[in-house]
Amino acid sequence: MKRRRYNSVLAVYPSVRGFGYVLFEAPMSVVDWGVREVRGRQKNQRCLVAIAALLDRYQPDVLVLQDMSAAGTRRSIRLRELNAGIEEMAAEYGFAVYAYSRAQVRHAFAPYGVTNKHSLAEVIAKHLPVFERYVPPPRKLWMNEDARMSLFDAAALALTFFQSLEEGELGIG
Amino acid sequence: MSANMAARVTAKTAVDAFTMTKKLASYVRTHRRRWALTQDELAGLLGYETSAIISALERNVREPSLRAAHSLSLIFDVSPAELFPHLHLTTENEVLQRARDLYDRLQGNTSRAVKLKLDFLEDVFARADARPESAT
Repeated sequence: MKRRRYNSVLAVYPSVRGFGYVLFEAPMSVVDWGVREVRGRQKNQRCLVAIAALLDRYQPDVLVLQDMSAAGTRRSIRLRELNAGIEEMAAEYGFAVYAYSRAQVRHAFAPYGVTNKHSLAEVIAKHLPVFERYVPPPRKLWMNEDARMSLFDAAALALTFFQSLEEGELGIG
Repeated sequence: MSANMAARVTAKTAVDAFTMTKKLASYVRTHRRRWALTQDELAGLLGYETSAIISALERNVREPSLRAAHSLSLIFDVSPAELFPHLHLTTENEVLQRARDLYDRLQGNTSRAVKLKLDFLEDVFARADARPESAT
């Protein structure tokens, strides 16, 4: 059977401050990336507008999100609503959507000795040098999570997708 | 010649329907951000006063001038075809179509000059066919 190849994969990771996104054309080929900070009222609506602009611009073959279902990763109500909104929008556009939980991402990166988000960011930056300058300093107990971390979370989701594609075990589609 | 080429293209399209490489129209943004350059800085390197042209090139709402394409190619050490694959492919399609038209018009003439032209055009078709992402 001929394996289907996806030419562009957009991963979006909603965070407390907005969202991070990464567009890949292959596992080692990053085309665009960024962190969008959204403040104030109607955060979700404004995030969806920004994500719609990304989808319009890049028309990806696949959209990869975090699995925020009951069996997936526990996130706040607002973020779950935002994730659901993104999924609905992707369905309207007709893009394939795959979702991976935090545990699945950790499992995918386990061979690299990833134990926390910072080490995940370092592993990704090592494999994709374009992200080197975005690795935040290690987080202290009293610090909030750095906004740049959503970039690495999005990249990790996309790389998990590529890995599951290799293994033939795609996430929730 | 044209019929054979069309048959090959049809077969290739059927087999590679899923594996065709879909590329962005412009990779200027990717390369600019790869090296942490701002649009203003890149505009400055190209000799423009404002970053509007860079924004337009990144969004593919404007075709690059020859000078801009060469400058970007020099700056990023990437060929203009790689920076603007859509433009490259469109141009290739148009040129090949015109070459096919000329090839058809020249048929039946047995002069030496025409033979030379036909050989050259066949070489053009062969080169296009050999390219991995040929527009043929």
